[in-house]
Amino acid sequence: MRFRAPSLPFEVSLRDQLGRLSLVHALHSGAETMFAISLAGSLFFSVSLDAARPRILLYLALTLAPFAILAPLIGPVIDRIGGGYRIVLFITLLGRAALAGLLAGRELSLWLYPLAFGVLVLGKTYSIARNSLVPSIASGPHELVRANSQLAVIGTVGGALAAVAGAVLLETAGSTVVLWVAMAPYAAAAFAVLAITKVPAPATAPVAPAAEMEAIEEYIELASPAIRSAGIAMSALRAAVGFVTFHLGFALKSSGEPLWVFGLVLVANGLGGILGTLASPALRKRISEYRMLTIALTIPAVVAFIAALRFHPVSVVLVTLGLGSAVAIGRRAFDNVVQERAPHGARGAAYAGLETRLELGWVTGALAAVLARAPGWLGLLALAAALTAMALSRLSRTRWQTKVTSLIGRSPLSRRLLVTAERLESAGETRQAVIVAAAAMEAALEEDAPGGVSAGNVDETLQFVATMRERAVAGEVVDFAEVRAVVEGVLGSGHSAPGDP
Amino acid sequence: MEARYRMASAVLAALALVGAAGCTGTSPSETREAAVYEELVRWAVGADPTAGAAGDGPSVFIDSLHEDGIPLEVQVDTIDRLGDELDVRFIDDQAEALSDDEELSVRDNGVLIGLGAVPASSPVVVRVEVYRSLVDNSAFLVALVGGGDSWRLDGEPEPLPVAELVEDE
Repeated sequence: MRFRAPSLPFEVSLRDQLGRLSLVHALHSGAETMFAISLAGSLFFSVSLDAARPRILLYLALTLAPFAILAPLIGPVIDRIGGGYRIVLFITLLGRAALAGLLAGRELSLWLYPLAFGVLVLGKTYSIARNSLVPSIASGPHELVRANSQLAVIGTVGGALAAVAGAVLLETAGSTVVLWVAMAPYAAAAFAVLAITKVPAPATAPVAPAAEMEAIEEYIELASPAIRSAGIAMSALRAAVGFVTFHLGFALKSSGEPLWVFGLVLVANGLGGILGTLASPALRKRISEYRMLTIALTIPAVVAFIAALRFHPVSVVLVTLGLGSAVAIGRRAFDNVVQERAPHGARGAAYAGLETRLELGWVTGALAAVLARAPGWLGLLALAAALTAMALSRLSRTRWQTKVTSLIGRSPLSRRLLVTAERLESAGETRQAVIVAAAAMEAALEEDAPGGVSAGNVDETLQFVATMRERAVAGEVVDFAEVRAVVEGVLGSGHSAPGDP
Repeated sequence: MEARYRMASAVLAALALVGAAGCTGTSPSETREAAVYEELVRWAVGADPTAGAAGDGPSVFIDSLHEDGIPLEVQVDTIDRLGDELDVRFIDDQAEALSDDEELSVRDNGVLIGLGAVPASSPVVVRVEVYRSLVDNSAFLVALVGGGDSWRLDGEPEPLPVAELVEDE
């Protein structure tokens, strides 16, 4: 079966892995939307928020705890299981079908909190597993970006269709029936996962030397400044989503807004996601991913600031529209960075760790909103300030980086290597720093470094640095400062032998 | 070693979740308080047969008249007792209950009920304020008799000067 959506840059075929995952995701999004709609008839809208706050905080903290503790372990554990991501998807979907069934008829009881937060934990786990599975089934250049765009659009369409059905059911039959019905797409998605064939894990245990090197490569790539910077920006956006979900939920309830306003907010968020996904390729042609992420932080900052000036349902809808599109743009940029800068890291355990940190951002933002319980306008102002600060810090870093890059670009290789060694040392990688510093010295001698370098001094210095490098390679503790002083001597005011004053 | 520690912590967190999930019942004192509130809400709504649209139970917004507020468990039990007949909502902010008209009337032609604290021992006398708009509101001291899960009004409620459940700003 093959579908091509008009004016969308992809087609969906159930013959390929991505098409099957798209079906899973569409069903999942539909079920999630129905579950969210069922909450309209739940305790959330019937009890006072001040009374419910301690319980919401407790469950959010319990949501945060497993991810915070298990972040570094989730990926490796999943990788060890053959077809691990598929199994996780299956369990989380079936688990949520069961929880939705358990909640049906108990929406107005205290069971709402553990069951709804159970759904939340499984939802976050699903997102981590799905996003970690995508790179493995998307092959070729820019496939990760295309695949995630496809999933985002299909997920929104699935959610929109379910929103209509859910709203009609809620009005005619009540929230219990909506929950019963939501079980069907959850269960269907779980069984649709089984159609995705097993994807070979990239770094399986027991670890062969080649696989070990690949795993190390993954981690090194994902720890690079570009990926780290993109990860921080994306985490901030996810935190903003978590914050807005709870902050606006509370604020709209406190101001007595009718249920259709909540529905409109959901629709605006989905629409924003589609707009952002469609705008991203055009943006990418004109600007770098770094700037895309800065823009993604700026859009919700500006909209939240405007909405804070006049807190009103319309401005709230604009905030969720802006945030939805910003998250979509940010996600595409993030995927691009990962795809281009970390081809090895874009799959497997390390990527799952990265995804886990993004979900942690969401829960942290949600916790902040519940803890603060600020008036509507104040929360949005705080959000605008936080996102603006992040965007400005990225802008200033861009200028600084441009300046430094230009300076470094003009400096000799030996000096650049020494700068790299110093960075490694400050990152706690002393052994690597010593090895790179030794390379810097060799480069300096090749470049005919300034200073009266006598042959005797050169031999003595080379021998000292070579010894230090060997000790570093052997895993011994080496004093980087001493090596740097010697190399600096070669690069700077003249060649100094070890022990020289 | 660290992985084991983390895994153990995660298991503990999961156990805490399960433990917290178990806290979904109400204590006898909470049941008693909810039963008193049930009787008071029935009386307050019954005192105004015009409230609510025809065929539907009226929207009932409940606000606490005491500083400590009404515990979540009591709110849930009260909703459980009245939910089939009335659309009951506990509020933190009166904006949740009031419309924007000049008389600051209650949304959906409903009623805003302020409930005082329930004494832990007899006699059980509770302050109740019934608000529909700035020009239609009243306050009472209501005595109840009974125990546990079953309470009824003891005599005629004593009218009181209306306090400021809703202030016209």
